[in-house]
Amino acid sequence: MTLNHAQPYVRSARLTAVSLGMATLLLGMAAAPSRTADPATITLDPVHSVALFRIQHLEAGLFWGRFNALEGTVKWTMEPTAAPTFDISAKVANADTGSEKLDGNLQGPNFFNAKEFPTITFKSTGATTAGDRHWMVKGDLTLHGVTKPVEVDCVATGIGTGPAGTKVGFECNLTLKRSDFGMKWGIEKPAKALGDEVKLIIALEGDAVGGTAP
Amino acid sequence: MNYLLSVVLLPILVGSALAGAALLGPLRQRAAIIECCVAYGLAIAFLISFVHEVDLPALLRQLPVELKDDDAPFERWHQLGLVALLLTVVSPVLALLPAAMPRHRRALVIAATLLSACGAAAFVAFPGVSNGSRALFAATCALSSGAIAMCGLRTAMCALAVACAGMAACAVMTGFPSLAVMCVALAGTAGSIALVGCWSRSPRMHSVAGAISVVSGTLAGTAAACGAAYASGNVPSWTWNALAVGVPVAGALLYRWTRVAPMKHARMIDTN
Repeated sequence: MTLNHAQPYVRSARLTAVSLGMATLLLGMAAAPSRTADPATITLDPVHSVALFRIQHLEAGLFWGRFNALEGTVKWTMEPTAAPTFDISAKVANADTGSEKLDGNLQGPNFFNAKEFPTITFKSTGATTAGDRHWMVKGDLTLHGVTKPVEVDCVATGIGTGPAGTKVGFECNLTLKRSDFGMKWGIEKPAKALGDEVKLIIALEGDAVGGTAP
Repeated sequence: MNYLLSVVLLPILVGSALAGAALLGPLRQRAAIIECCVAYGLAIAFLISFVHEVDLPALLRQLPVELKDDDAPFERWHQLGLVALLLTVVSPVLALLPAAMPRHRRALVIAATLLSACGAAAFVAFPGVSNGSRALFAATCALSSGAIAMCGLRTAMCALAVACAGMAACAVMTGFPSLAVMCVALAGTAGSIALVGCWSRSPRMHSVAGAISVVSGTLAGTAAACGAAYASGNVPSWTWNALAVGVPVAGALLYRWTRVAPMKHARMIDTN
C-alpha cells in the first residue's frame, strides 16, 4: 500500500529530473559558443597578382599601366557571404607602362615620388555583402603619403587547386581621384595633360593555408 | 599657354624688370642697389616659378604653419621653394650689409658664401642623401658662389643661364618637369639680366660679389642637389653636380664673349 501510494510521487520526481535534465541540456546548448569557420590565410602570389590602372591622356586616349607583383594577405573563410579582409601592398618601383621612360616619370616627384613614398597599401576595415561572393569592401588606401578611406568592389573569382594546394582568386575595382592624394601634376598645371580620375582593376591570386570548415 | 606664362615668362619678367630697373635706372652707379636688385630678382624669379608650378600651400607646409583642411603630403623636394624664399629674404641684407661696412666687405662676402652653402646643406634634406653627399652639396654651392664672385656680372649671368638650361634638359630627360620649368625660369632670368647688361653703363658690370654670387651659387647648387636626389634613369647623378660646378667653368669659357671693354669702363667712376 505504501508503495502504491508512493508511486505517483516517484513518477513525478522522475519527470522533474528528466525535465531538469532536458532544460540543462538545452541551456547548455544555447550557452555553448556556436561553431564558425576559421578564415584561411591567402598569401598573394606576386606573379599572378597585379593592379591595372587607367588614366586619360590629354583628354584623348585612355592609357593603361600596371603595378606588378602585389604582395600581402587576404583572410577569408571561403563562405560565399562572409567577407574577406585584405592587407595588400604594391611597390611603386614595380610600375610598368611598357615604356621605360614613362616608368621613370611615374616614379619621379611629379607623380608617385617613389623616393619618399615607395609603397602603396590597402588595409580593409569592413565590408558589406553585395551578392554571392561579392562585397563592397571598405578600407584605408595609403598612396603618395596620404591615407584616405575608400570603398572597393570585390568579387571572389574562384577557388581552385594548384600543385601547391588551394588557390583563391579575387578581382577588385576602384575609381579614385589622384588629386585627393596630393598628386596634382598635369590636372591644372599644365592644364588637362592627364586626367584626375584613375580607374583601378586589381587581380589577386594566392595560396590558401589553414582555416577550418564550419 | 597660360601655364608657360605663369611658370616661366612671369618669373623672367619680374626678375629681369627688377634687375633692369637697377642696371638701367638712375641708381646704376650704386653697387649695393645693383647687387640687391639682381640677387633679389634671381631669387624671386625662382620663387614665383615654384609657387606657380607647385602651389603656395606646398611652400607653407615647409614652414611651422598649420594649414586648415590641408591633407596633402609633406614632400622634401618642396624645400627648393623654401631655399628660394630664404634667399629672397636674405639677399637685400647680403647686398646692403657689405656696402654699410666697406672695410669688412671681403670678409663678409666670404662668410656669407660659406654660411649659405653650409646652411643649405644642413637644412635641405632630400631623401637618400648621405653626409658625404651633403658635404659635396655644400662644396658645390660654395665653389659656384666663389667662382661667380670672380666673374663680371654679364659673364656670371650667362654662365648661370647655360648651367640652368643644362639642368632643365637633365630634368626633362629624367622625368622631373617641375624642376625643368623652374630651371628654365632661372636660366631665362639670368639670360635676360645678361642682355640688359649689354645696355647698362654701370661700372658694376665688372664684378659680382656678395648677394648675387651667393644667390646664384646656392640656387644652382640646390637645384642640382634636388635633381641628383630624385632623378633616376637616363642621367647619372654626378652630372647634376658637374652642372652646378660648371657655372664657373661656363663663366671662364664665356668670359671673352661677355667681358666689358676695359677702355670704355676705365672712364666710369664707381660711386659705391
